[in-house]
Amino acid sequence: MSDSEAQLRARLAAALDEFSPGPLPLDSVVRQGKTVQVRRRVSAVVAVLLVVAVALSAPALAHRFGRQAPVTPGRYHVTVSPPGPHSPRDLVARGRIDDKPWSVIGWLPNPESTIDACFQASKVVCHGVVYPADYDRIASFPLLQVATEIGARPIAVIGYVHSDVRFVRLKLSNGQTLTLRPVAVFGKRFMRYVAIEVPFAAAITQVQAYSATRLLGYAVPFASGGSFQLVRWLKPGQAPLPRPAVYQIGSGIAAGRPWSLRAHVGPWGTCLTGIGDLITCHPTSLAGLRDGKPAALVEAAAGPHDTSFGVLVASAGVSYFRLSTTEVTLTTDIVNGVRFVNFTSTRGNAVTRWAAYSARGQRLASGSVR
Amino acid sequence: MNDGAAAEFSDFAHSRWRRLVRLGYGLTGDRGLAEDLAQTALANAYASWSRVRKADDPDAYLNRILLNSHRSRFRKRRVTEDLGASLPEPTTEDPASAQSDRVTVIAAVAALPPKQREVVVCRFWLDLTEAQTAAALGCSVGNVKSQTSRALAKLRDSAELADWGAR
Repeated sequence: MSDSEAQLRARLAAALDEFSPGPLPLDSVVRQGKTVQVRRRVSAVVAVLLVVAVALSAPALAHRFGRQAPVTPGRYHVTVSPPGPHSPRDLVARGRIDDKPWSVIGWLPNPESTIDACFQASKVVCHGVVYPADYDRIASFPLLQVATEIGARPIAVIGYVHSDVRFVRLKLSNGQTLTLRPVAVFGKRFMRYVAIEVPFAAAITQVQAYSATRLLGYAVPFASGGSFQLVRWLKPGQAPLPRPAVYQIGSGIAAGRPWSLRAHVGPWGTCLTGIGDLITCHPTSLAGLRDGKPAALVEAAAGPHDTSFGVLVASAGVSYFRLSTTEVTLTTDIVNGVRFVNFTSTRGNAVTRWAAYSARGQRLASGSVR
Repeated sequence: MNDGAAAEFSDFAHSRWRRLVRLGYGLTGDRGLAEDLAQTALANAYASWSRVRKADDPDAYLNRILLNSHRSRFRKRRVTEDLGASLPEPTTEDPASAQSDRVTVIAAVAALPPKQREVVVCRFWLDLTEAQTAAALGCSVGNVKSQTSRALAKLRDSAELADWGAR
């Protein structure tokens, strides 16, 4: 960096650091945020209505909205085709599930920004930011990042791929293998997307990402309760994989409401379910939830009436925990050799901070619950 | 949004407010507009809170929202916006004071064309790398380099920073 650049940096930093803004108008922010939410929902509904209108005016497309017959696991057939030279520019992929056609179309609800990308499949699925095509050179990205509508049947699996990926291969539970070709649906400046619709979330049993010449990695999805998550990418030939197992690692009653945390461990890593609709996944084994730390908070949630409940995981070196309130019930469970401590606070005594100590009183780890 | 998420968002908004307003001030040179931009960025974050809280880098997300809001504001008001160097702030302080230096620096940055101004604020205040700046602004690294070079040349020649390089 030149002297002049360093000088500009210093003067600009000093100038902006001296500038003191007024207080945060939180109420206005929230009001405006709710308006944005409503506007987005209206945009999504309008888009759906447009698609329906187009489908109804085109008899060739109309029958795709017919009632779907129940699909028997293993007895279905899926096809997928990338956009052809005469396809609409916003088409990501299309195909059939048995005799029912499906298609996935992408659009930006707010064309002036790339904050949201939405896709019309059998339901609307939205991703967050549309990243620039080369963004994975400066930030860590998985080979494929997917989003789905939890519980949808059929379910659309839509995701953007790493710039190294040339195609994605899917293995299905009926024995089929399908190839997805990434499409620059929002233009070449942005990351490319793949999409497919399958009859149910567990239909996809393995996802493989390829460069032009070789397999880059593969993932076994976590598909439970209608969700579909790609969490842990394995290198070609990487084995052995843990056999799928479910462990109960904490439960209780918070403000009259029961909660129960389960860990689903398998080749996908570890996924935690059972606190509301939340599904949190980690690309680790059960013991790996500590992420090398003496103790860690693995899941927590706020209950009604300013209560809280959650689960901490601790190494053998942790002797006791201190929480920000003493009005709390602590329970310790050993699950598959891993020590979990779950807490439930009483009304008006939500836990906001925790700290883990050794037998000598040395603070080993701490953190916030929010 | 439930009570827990609302409290979480409130903490998040309070912790980011000052930085966002300062970023907006660097881009616009105007306190009111800066606060509007910061408020818009946080409102968009509220509307997408489930995604923002899970983002690898929520600050990068917020920066991008704010920069996009700034650009769309500029596009909508292209005809009427005054991009002159004079700021809607009193400039009667002692020229030797830090306050005066703040006004001088901000005025010089405000006089840059919008793209160069964005690049300068991203590179020299947010301390983003060229690649991160390119990602935040949705342009190529080469474009960031050329805009930075032009911006620095303009700042060297600017009347507001006539003493730049002599310090």
